[in-house]
Amino acid sequence: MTDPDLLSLQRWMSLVVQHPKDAQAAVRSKKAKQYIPTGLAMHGKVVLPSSRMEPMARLDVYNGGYLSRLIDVIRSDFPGLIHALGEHAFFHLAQDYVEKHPSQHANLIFFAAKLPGFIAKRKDLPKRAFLRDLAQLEWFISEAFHAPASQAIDPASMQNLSPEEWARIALHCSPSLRLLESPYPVNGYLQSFFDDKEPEFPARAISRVAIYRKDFRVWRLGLDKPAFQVLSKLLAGEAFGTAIECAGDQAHRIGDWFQDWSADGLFTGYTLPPDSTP
Amino acid sequence: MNLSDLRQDDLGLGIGLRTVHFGHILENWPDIDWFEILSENFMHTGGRPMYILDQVAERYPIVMHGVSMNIGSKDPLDLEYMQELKVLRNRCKARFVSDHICWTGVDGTNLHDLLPIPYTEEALKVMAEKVKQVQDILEAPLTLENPSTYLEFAHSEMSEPEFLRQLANETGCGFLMDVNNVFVCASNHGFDAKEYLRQVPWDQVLQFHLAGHSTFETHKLDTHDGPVCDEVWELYRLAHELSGGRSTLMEWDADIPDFDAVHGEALKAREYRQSMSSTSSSLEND
Repeated sequence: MTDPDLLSLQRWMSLVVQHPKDAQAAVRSKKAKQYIPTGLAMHGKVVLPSSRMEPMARLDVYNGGYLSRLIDVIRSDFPGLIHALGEHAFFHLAQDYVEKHPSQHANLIFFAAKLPGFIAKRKDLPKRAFLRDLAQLEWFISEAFHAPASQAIDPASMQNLSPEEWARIALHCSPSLRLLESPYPVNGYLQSFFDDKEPEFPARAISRVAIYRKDFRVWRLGLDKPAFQVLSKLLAGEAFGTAIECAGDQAHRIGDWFQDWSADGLFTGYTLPPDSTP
Repeated sequence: MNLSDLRQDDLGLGIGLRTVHFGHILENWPDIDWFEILSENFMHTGGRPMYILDQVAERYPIVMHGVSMNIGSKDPLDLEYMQELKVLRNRCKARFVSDHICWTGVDGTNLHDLLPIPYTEEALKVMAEKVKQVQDILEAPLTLENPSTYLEFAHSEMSEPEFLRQLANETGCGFLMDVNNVFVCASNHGFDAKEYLRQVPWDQVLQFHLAGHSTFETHKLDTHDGPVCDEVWELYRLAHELSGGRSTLMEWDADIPDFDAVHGEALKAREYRQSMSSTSSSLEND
């Protein structure tokens, strides 16, 4: 056999690095044999032995590091999920995720983006709706941490808007703002975990939370239903006048909400579309 | 900016800008010559890390060091990554942009490891084309680091220093000589580290890295989790003599101690740099 070309070698080694067991199992796999015959790999025709290591042992240095590195990335983003699942179940979930969703991005900060959706499809997990939303909350925290910087709107810049113009404006929300509604009290659960209270699986109770970054810290703000609905509409880019209709009989609170949310940097500017009234 | 300009630009002794030291740096603005950033830690992020970097970059020279350029892969260059890298380079006015002589993934998958390449004519051609493309995008020389490796390919056609020499001839790129990596590879592969250093194309070398490693029964691993061992310091002395002196970075990326401990380790390099300077002066006086 001729020496492997670079592409075949890299595809072969990629399989070796990613194999969940070890290098020997990898080079014996059907996929790896497509690129390099097992016999050549096993007998030092591809990777040379060293004075102290056989070729498979040398490949195992790379195989061993891959899984642990990526699981560590997930571990750092989802401490609450680890608590909820337990270390053993978390490890197997993370291992499966690494196998099903190989990293496609140069930056590891994106690696766990699909974990909440991955959990949602895992029928073997107890209370997976809760686990999915807890993972979503922790992922939103990570996204808020890395979101682009933004400057909060100066409310004084809106002083001269007429009531009609207020109704038409579309507010620009902070790029860090995320909203999560869950049938479970995931934010309370996460806070209990951060407070070292060893929380148990919670009973169902709808919760709503805004996640955003202010002063380089990520904050989680619990919201009731009317406030959540108004903020959701604003985040979706709807006109202020349309968004506040969701407040219903809580409309009298809109001034306070706007003041608080502006102070927290949730709005960065606004667009005033032309008046289309005939 | 060409390579000879950069070669003259000995920044002195630097350390890596790491999250655990942010508070100390902002409070004390320590007496350090320069900082190196891990490029990917400041890409696709707009929070506190960028705020810190902006302030640090106002006061210290910055050098960028990346791990995801995938320069040795058969995959095409990731142009989105390159654009982000260039934006970051311009923002922090980095003096050098470096990555590694390695590949990190193929067919779009990123394995997030510095994987070894075979030192073949084919790999040389692949890498040279991509280095030229990177340099066109950056409008500056790319600097590439010799990696720590844990295996050698049977079909390699040349030594690592020869590969470096030919890559430099093809592209004019610079090199970052990681002295600890030379030591680790020499131990793992059974070659003479001093002989390796004597074969390095020193005109192309812009920077040194120093770091700690871990020793196992069968091999050494480049772990950046401790002080520099005596053997690596001695190799640094030789490298410094052979090169005439280059910007030097102390890497400490795991089990990171407080800033003063890392800084103290970096300052040890000063003894070697000064002994070299005094040797040069006495030779000139003679």
